[in-house]
Amino acid sequence: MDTALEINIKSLTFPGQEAAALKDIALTVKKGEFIAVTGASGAGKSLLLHTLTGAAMKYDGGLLDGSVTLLGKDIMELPLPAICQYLGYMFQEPQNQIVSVSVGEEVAFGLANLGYSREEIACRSNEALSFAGLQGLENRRTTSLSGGQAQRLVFAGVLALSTPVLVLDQPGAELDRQGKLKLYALIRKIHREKGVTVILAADHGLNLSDFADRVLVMEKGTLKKAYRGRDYPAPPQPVPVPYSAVKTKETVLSVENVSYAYQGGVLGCEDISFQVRRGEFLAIMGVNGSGKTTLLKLMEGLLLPTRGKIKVFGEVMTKKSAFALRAKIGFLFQNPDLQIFADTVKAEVAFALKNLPLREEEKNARVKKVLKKVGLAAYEECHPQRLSRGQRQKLAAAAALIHDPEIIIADEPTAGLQEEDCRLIMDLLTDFRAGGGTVILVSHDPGAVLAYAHRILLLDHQRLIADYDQGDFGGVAASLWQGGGRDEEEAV
Amino acid sequence: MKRKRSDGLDPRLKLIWCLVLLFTALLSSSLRTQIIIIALVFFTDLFLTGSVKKYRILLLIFLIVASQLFLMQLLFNREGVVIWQWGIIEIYSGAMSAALLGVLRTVAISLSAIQMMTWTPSEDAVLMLIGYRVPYRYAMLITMAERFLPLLKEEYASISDSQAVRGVAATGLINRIKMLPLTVMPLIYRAIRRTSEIALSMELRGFGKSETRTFSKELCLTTTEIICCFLLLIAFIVLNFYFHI
Repeated sequence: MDTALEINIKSLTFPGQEAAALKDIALTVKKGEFIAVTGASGAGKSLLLHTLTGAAMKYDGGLLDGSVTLLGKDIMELPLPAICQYLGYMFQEPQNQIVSVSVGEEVAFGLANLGYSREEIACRSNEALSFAGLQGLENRRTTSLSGGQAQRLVFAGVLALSTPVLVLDQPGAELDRQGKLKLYALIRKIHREKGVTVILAADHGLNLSDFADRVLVMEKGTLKKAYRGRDYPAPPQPVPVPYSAVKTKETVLSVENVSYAYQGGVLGCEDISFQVRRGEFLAIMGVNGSGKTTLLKLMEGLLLPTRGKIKVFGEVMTKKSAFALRAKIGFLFQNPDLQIFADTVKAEVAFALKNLPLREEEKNARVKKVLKKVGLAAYEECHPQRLSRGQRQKLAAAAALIHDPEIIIADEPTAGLQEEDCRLIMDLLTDFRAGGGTVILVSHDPGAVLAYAHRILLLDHQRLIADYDQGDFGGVAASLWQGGGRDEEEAV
Repeated sequence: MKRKRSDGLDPRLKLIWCLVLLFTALLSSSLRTQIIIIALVFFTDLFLTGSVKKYRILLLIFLIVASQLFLMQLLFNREGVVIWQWGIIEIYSGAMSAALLGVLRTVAISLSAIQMMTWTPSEDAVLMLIGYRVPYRYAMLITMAERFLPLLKEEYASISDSQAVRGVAATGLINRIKMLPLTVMPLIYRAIRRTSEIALSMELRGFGKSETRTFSKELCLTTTEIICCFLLLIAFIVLNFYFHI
């Protein structure tokens, strides 16, 4: 079997940084192999993949001591735009890769850059679209695609180039579990049917032994361990955390016959009613388009119900009361970058304390305590944008916890994070609940829900279709974990 | 994507139409001509796209501009005779007509330019620029803008929401101004990160590899369109330099 990639990295260093970002990596990838790279956030997975394309050196300015050979060619001698003849690369966020207005143009983008004829482009684009299950959508605007469709479009664009090597960086990071499993099935198909060499930074919660020939575990910029695919342990089935039943009957939040219609009459949610008691860990589940986001915005007071009402601690959420009520709630967003604005980690966390009547020393003590709790004590003077994605999510959690809220509403807080970071965020929420707080988790990760929540609300077609208590929902969540249930496209 | 009648026309014909209207509005000092140009924009838009709703958003902007122009003319125009005086403030008879002409001309020019932009799909605009020897790497920025500006707007709304639920007051003009750094900073960070990733993703798909690239279509002026272009140019010369409309 011929060699697809020969990697010999003694060190990869970035200007201004003493420590090597990657070191001592020697690896030979044979043609037709399927390699999965795994490891905690910040372990160097994405950087290793960047190095394989040459981007880490030519685009990010890294200094490589060693060599990377792609199909017999030294990567340093290939200009970046020429790489796409040998290697197709896919990033995590589809929205940062789609550059065209229509689906057809996007799939053809790479081929058009390489100067293929229109006939050839049409033929290859159609084949790639059909492979990715997007046939018939050529004239759709890329902005109108769902998350899963957008991710498969990016994949189709890479497939259309027909490269012998595919390098994929957490391709399912932005997808729900069903979407993720669907995308991985496509990757397996292209690997098996066309003999393409695949190297991917794996998303968490997948059974890598199902498809990988080898699994490489990275830690601190180097390869820590290598497994044969079939020897790599399957992810554990989520086990519910021990739970002490809710003793109090105090209702902290109640949603009463709430409906919301957007401008133009588009339904956001319809006739939803439920109550949340103090000390509950409630999960709201449903595929994209089922009404989760609308319900979340209603609970946050960003939208006001067209019908019905929402009460927080007995007070009706109105435009006027929303500001005061939010002081009792901490919000944790899917994307921490939407809220980070300060120059230092410390200032970011301290922002929520600005309006509280506390002395400066007391504020500092609180900041230190919460940063220690989330494991960011060493970074308090660091610029938040220098932190890894997982660390930024921890920072957002710290900012949500600092003012001692009574409820935390978390919107997909573990999306795109690695196993360890997911656990840390979910443990923080569990600790918060154990301390008397109430957690409302919006998620489409059945693993997290099964392990941590004690009650699930299931939304579908903008309605609440089920309200499971502890013990009742194990089967439902387990089925979702296996990839059952409708996916987002069926819902849209 | 729904096709409109205007999509079928060559962008060069649209450009000539726009330039004829624009320069006529600049050269003419007649109120009637300015009104005709504005009417022409609306009429052609109604015929070719079936709607003029898109201009509704401009109404407020035009009202603000108009009020400023009127104020300036009333205060500083010295044409004609004094018709009203209060202390050192004098209003002359020529001020009203000059202000009206200024407003109508601004509206006519803006509408002509906006019509050209909304009529021309970004791909056509790119091809037209390439036809005028603009390298495709720069010409394609138009498509990028069409793709990413709405995304930026959406992101700004999400950031505002995120900050609002963190306790930043988002109602009232003063609060909104105060909140600006809190929403602009994340937007800038996101934009920098996004730009860098997009550029890399494009390069890794061969963007900039060659001097030329294949586009999904070619621009081709039909005989009717060529005749229309000539007629428009002749009409422009005759109306502006012979009849002095």
